[in-house]
Amino acid sequence: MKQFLKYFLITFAIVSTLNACNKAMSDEFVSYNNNQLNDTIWTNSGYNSSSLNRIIFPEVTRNTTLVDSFDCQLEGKLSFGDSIQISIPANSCIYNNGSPITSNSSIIKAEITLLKKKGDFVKYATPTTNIFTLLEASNYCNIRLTKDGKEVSIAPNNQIKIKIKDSTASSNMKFFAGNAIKYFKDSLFIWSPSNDGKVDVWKDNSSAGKTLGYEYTTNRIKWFGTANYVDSNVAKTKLNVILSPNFTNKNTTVFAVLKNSKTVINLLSNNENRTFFTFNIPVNAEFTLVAIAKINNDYYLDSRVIKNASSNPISLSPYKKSLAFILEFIDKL
Amino acid sequence: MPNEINFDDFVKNSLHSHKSPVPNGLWDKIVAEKETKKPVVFWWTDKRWYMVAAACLLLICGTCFVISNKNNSEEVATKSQVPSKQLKNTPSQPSKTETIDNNTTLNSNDNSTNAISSDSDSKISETDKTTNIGTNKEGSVKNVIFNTKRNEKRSANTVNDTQLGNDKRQQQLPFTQNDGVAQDNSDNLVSKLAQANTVSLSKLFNYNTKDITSLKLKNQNKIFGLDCPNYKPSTWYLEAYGSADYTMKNVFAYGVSNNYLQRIDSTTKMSGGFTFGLRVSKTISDNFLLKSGLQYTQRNEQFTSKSDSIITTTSVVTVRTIVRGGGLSDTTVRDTATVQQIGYRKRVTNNQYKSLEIPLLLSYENGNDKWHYAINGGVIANLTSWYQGETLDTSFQLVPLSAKNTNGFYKSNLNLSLYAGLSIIRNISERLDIFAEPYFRYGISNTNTSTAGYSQRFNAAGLTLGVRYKLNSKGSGVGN
Repeated sequence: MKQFLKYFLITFAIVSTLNACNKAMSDEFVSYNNNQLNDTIWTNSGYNSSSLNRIIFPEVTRNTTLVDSFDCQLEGKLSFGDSIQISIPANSCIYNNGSPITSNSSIIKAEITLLKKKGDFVKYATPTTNIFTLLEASNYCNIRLTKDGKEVSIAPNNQIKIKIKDSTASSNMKFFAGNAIKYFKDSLFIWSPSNDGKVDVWKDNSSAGKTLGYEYTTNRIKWFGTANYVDSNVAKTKLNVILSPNFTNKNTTVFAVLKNSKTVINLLSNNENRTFFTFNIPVNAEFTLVAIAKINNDYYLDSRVIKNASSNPISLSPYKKSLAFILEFIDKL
Repeated sequence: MPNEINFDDFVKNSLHSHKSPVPNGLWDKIVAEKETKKPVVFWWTDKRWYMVAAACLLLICGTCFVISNKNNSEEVATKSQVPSKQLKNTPSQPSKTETIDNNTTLNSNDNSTNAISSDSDSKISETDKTTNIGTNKEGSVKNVIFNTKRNEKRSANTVNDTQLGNDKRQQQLPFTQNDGVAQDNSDNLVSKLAQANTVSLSKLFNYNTKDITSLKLKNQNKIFGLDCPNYKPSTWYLEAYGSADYTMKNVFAYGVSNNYLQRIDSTTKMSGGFTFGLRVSKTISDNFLLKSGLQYTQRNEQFTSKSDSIITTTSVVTVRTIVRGGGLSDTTVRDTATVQQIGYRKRVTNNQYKSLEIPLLLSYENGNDKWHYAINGGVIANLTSWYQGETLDTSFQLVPLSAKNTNGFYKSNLNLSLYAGLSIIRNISERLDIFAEPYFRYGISNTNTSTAGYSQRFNAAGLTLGVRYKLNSKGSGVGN
């Protein structure tokens, strides 16, 4: 009987122990695999500011474009208020493949994007830089001409005139052209001096010659504008920005907007140490750091005013904001 | 006196059919008091405790009966004065003279007895084969009853004839000089046996190495003159067992939507269970046993629920190496930041369905000294159930599993299961066996019913492991 009891008690103890070890409840968090918010991996395929910009502000670009049309067989004159006037000689438009436009209908649709403020440069992710070289810009313009949905351009040896109103126009500014380039793995949009056109100060016909703005004479209708290099003699430093892990180079862009000049810098990304950076920031320049992100359908924003730039990393923590709030904030830069 | 009688009649007539008016609201007070009256003992109001108590009582009574039966046997054995040493020389192998047919009863007259005796060799040889089949290994002669007033003479004749025929066989007879019964007392013993009137030869051989007192036991039982050729005392066992169960569940709907049933089905998954208990078994014939007892069964179910999408915010420390440039060394930055993750909360609850049950099984058992096999079948009745865990109600909200009506989702009810199993039993000592029993259990009624309109039945397959203790050592065992 003792042996029997021994077996029984041992069995009972084992069963009781196993039952006691059985955890009654567990509660765990399971993250979604394909949700952008959970993607904290930085891409090593390079930074693409223009594609990022299209992701962030598709609605903005659609609403701020000026649209009009003209008959290309006649001299075209387009006016958008008093801010911009475009004069296109007759029969100066050709298809992009070089063939002339000979159809009965010669109406050309013109879409004009004009960037005049620092906020505009941020919205369109068109920094005023030549890679790491800082530019002070005046305005940038992009004209898109189409006939029946097909893009057309200005025939060689023909030039159009564009007058853009700018009371601060300066004769020091030069004609710059904007181009998308590949810089290592990054896709950048840079501005370079160009011989495709020239820019003059637009003055009225009065004897005093009141400055009205800039007058461009160019064959180029794609991104062009007036800019100049920022003083290269001042001390400069590298700028490093770090963000919380949710914000990567796949969903976030960081700008540095100088206060005292129309200069906007789009920081590049370093996927190895997960930072955004740029060079040639004037040490004593006051500027505003702006981080904008779009994750899923939510927009995030954080900004910070820096008065004395240094290479020590600056931390930003974007918070969810509405698109309207972000646009309003950008317009005030 | 007439006046007194008249007065009595007057009182009787006046008050006999008198009815006192009942105050208004009295019955309501009684009902209210009845409802609010608390039981003296808390379990009096819960019927299932009665069932548990009844089961326990049954088990206790059964065990007491077995133990008392065993004690009684031992007590009688203690009273016996026959020294066991006298039985040491009992032959281990049967001889031809011992191999008498099972059905042979020496209750005839002298002539027939003599005929048998004188012709014993031939008769014995004729019955030899038959007897070998009918007897046990030890060659003990079974079921030969000396049952007449002429026992003495017949025994003497038999012995004498055998002695004349074959000395060897003679020595192996129970009543010869070299037998376990002392030579000088053989006549006395035969005389005593005759006085007792009923003696089983087989029992003589069964007890010859251990305990002759069973002879006494038969006397005490006073089976005078009864011919009990196949008599065997019942054997009682106490079995303790436990099993790991693979459980299956069937859900039956009563008016709920398919969507809800699918949700229930997709969120729950059976995750096994276990059973342990005690049962008493009793031999009811050579190979059949009746088993009953009390067992605890627990079926485990994994219930998984998912919340809607939630965003969690966690603080993390990030370490980055910053290239500062401009002739400055690289710097390592540790930054505490918050990370947001979107997902869902997965809640896994181990639901437990617990039951107290009574098995009622019939077992057929057979085998040899060491190994036995048994086929078991019967029903298992659920006495009471109680639950622990969570489930979804029809609005897909988490609710606790409970048999309590106040906050519960399930109701407890009685139910039956069919049981079938195959046991392999190994004898490890004189009174102790171990056994393994693969089994299958099929629920034939709803184990529990939810108020939401569906019920569940559980099936199970498993392997029971246990030990079996022989309660009465005098029992002949089963299936040998």
